[in-house]
Amino acid sequence: MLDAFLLILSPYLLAITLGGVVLGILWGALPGLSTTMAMALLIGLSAGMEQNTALCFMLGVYTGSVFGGAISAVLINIPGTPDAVPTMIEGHTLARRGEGGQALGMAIGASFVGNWIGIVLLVLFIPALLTFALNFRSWEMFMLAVIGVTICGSMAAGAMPLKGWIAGWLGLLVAFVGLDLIHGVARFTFDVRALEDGLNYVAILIGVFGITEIIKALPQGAASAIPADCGRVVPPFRMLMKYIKASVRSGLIGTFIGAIPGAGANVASFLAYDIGRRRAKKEEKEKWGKGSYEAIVCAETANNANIGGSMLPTLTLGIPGNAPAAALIAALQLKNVVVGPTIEIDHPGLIYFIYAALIVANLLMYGAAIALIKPCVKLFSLPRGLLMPLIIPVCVVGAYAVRLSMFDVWVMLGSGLIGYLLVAFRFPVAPIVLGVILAPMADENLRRALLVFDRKGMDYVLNQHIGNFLLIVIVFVIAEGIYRGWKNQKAMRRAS
Amino acid sequence: MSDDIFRGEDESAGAAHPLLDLTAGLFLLLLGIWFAAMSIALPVPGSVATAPGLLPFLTAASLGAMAILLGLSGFRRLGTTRRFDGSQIFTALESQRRIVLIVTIFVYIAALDALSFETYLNIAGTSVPVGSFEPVTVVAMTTMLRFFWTDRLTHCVLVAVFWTLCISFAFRGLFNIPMPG
Repeated sequence: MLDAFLLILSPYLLAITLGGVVLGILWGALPGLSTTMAMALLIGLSAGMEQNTALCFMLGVYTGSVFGGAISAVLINIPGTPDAVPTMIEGHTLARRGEGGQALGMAIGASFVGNWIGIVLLVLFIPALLTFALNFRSWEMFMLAVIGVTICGSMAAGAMPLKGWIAGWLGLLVAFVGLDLIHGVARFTFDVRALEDGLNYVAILIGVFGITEIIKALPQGAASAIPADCGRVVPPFRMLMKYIKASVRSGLIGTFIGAIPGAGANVASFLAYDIGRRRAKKEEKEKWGKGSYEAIVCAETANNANIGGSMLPTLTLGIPGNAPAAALIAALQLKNVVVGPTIEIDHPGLIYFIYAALIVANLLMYGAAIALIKPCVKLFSLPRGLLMPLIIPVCVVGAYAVRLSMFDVWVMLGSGLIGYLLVAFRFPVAPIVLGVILAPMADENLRRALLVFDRKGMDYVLNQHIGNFLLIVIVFVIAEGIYRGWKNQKAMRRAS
Repeated sequence: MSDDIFRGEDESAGAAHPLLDLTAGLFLLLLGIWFAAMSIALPVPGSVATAPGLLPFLTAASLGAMAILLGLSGFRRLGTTRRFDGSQIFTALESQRRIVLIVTIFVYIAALDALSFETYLNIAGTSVPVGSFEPVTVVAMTTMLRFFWTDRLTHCVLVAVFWTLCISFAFRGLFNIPMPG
């Protein structure tokens, strides 16, 4: 661990991490530009970096952009990222009362604490989870992949999990294109040679999170209101101490939600906000929705703790905890780093480096956030019509850079268009990416497991206790999703 | 949040207009059947357990089943909501702007794909590589900025040139990543 810290404290890596954090904060602060979009676009840039540099940069962007959303939420009443909606509800009310600076200071403090909670829980739980995950064989790995796609679908489309599952299944189908891993049989290639290598998931990731968003948002042409001055920003630690209980509770919620595949910062911040409201003292509860500092603490602690949480399944099982973590997996795979149960054996020391990078990024985020709030106010006056066209060439270069292939750029455009159609039909897009990433793991392990079962008989299958448990989890997730979908439809019918 | 419906990570995801859900269901059903048929047609070099089409078939078949459920859910709600107004899809200003954007991106990528050259410019004694990426990107970005940002062409060109040089410098100069085109 000490070696990892000494490594990251080199001026070059510190500068890269700071660059990532600053870029992340500015990106997150700009309305319409999400954390996932930032992470997806930067995979291409990270392709040209050395492994540690790429990790510092990507984790810096991740940490910075999750907080960045709060700035525009408080100051101009537009959430920079979707998870900043609760912060917007409370923070902008405070800003109208002239307490914008203090609200932002509170958000910075809460984000800092949230990141710490996430990191501490990550460090505490990774060894146990890795030891447990080493018992996983082919059958369990197949089950894990299915669980990943199923839970992601269920969490992404909460009101109608069926659509989330369909999106995940589409991702799986897309990933089957190309030569099969065991026999080398060409699947769904239609005699197109370029398809034999399969569809590049980085291009798909950039397409569905970058191009889709641009096609959706740019033609709307909504102009941002130029904000007033935010006032003095001093993170009020004494006030934060007043809300320490809410902060710890929300941090735990955020980390737990982050560890569930598909459930990211949005679910975390809304859930912590809602639970916080129910558990608040009577006088504080009355302020909820009208400018409550405790509410900001709940939402911001949870969405930042989510970062550490999302790293848990990502690093130990190879299943991304959320969409930005999927982008991180993609960036690591470009460096030939395959995350999963054997990460400590295959890449000794990498986990410690990630801990160190997260800690340093958090410390830098705290300072950079205070320094960047005023420049951000200027940035908000930039119209969407100027910002979004600037992102398109970055998408193109990002998709091209991975395999130096124009075919991948076309795949990116195709994915973006299909992503837009899916969004128009109200499907979530995150499960597609999870499906694409987990399909090879599911395919290879299912066939290997069936081959083993074929030789050893039914008794052996029934004795796979971890596998059986995971199967029960899948059945439970599907049953809960069906019940939730049915309940929501009933509620909607009643409302209409 | 107020109606006690759990929206999940993507708030906009959920039930669409029944007609849209019915259409999506039918399309996905056909897609599922098509993929299932192609999966069955794949060669089986070893046993069925290791057949290349095994998981694709299971996925496509279950996708078809889910598509039926989606279609049925749309069909059941058909009479309960107001009629779907499809007339605005292509005529609304926002849709027209969207079509222009998609066409511009398409032409931009096609131009990068079709044009391929690289030359070196001597700027202040330094040899600077310039490929088809730079001019094509400047033209494409100027078009988009002109359409979506401001009527002042000079502003659009200046921003496009500045940003293209920034990207080129970051990718080609700083990280040695070749540019498309």
